[in-house]
Amino acid sequence: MKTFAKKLLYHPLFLVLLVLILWQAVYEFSGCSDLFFPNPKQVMLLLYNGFLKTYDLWFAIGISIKRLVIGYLLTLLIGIPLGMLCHTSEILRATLGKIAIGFQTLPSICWVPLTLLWFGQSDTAIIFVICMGSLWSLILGTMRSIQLVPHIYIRAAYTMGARGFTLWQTVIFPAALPYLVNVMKQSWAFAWRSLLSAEIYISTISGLGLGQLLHYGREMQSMDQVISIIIILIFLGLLIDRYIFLPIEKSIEKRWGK
Amino acid sequence: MDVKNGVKIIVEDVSKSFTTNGETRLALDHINFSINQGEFVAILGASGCGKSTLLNMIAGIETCENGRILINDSNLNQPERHRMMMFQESALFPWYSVIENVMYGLRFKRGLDPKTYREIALYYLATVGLKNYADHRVYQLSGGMKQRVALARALAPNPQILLMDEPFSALDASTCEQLYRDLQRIWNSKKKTVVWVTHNVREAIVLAQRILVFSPHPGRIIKEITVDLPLSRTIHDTSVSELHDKIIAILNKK
Repeated sequence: MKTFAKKLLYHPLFLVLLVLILWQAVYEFSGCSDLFFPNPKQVMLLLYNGFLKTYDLWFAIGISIKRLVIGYLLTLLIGIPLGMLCHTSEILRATLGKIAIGFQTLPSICWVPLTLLWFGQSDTAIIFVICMGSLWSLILGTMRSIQLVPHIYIRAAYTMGARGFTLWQTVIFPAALPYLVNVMKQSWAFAWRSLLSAEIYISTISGLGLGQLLHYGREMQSMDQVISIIIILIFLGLLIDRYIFLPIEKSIEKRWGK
Repeated sequence: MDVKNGVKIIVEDVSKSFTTNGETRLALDHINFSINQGEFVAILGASGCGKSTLLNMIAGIETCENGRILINDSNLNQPERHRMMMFQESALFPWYSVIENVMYGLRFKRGLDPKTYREIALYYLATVGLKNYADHRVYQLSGGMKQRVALARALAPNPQILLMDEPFSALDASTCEQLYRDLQRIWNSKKKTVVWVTHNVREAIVLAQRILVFSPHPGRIIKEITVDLPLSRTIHDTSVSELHDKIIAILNKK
């Protein structure tokens, strides 16, 4: 019984339960308007309807994830090779490598006005913002990951006869991978933030994503919708970390024995 | 010594200097020696005598400033598969298993069927006594085992020359003694040319047939010693101790 109580106490759901109770209590005793402060029941009902009756929320998740995946894959496709080039080419390191630091500090939301002019209210606009938000840290991170590769590995492979592409494929890339995965994870977090800022600011006709539902929730004074979306976003973040990044990190740890 | 026939490595008038903070220092000062095929030669000296630099130059990963190094009478330019190198750290690749590490050098050898890679690697793992560890991960091995695997990896492509840069210096004494015995056995059966860089006098005496004693700042050969002792010598032998004291005296005089 004692271990069960301990297990319960240490489980994250316990805290969720506590928050729900607190939330309900505040709702009961504060006397706030439903418009301003929804009760848990309203939010649950909205989630229930959205997921199981109208399926609206599934669609919104699908639309957002699609944008995110396209934007993030583009970032990987451009950022990793550019980061590698920045490592090998001195001129790129001195130019792009320096400029990238500036771009990295620029909040992705700053790209929204420009994007709207260039691409209008479209998916392309949102994908562009995602790329701009996540690309620079990936370039810099890739460069740094490769710099962190112990030189002895490269020397050993070189004396055994590895050159050029083979050296990259069999030594530099696998040696950099543990760092690179962290960099990719960080870049994913940037992409995720950029997606939401873009969706909140850019209304599209091609379908409403989670950020847009969040934005319209406020416009329609539907606080239950706003809170529902936030809950969904937190869950998605947890799920992606748990089922995409954690297994990758685990498999590397298993090989390297860290 | 002066017979050119069968001579594997010739180091001819080699010098090298390094510049740090605007100050140029001579690391190697007109070095001359040659090493015969199948010979085990130790380059002995304190840190700063340029011995690792010299080894890197023989390996072809550093260039000579002056003079030249001939291998089989041809000028050396870059690392080739008939010279393999071993380092102070094992430099095993943690993203590969033990056997994949040993197989690594084989892919660069021409005319070798990939189907035989595993077989060859297993043979050399057996040579260093680690056949049962083929599918282990690198982190599961002790320091001594890692260096054994590194030795198997260096031996696998069947190089003519082994270049060893203090490969046992990070290991404890008893592990070292074990490895000396194994190395004596392997060298005796495979007859490779070995250039062994070390600062450990006893190690040099136990392993090498000939010792080139270097002085530091700048690196110069101050003495060449032929070790005329039975092959299965250990660091505890009195004859080894006597020679040890003699070399120490030479090093201190400088």
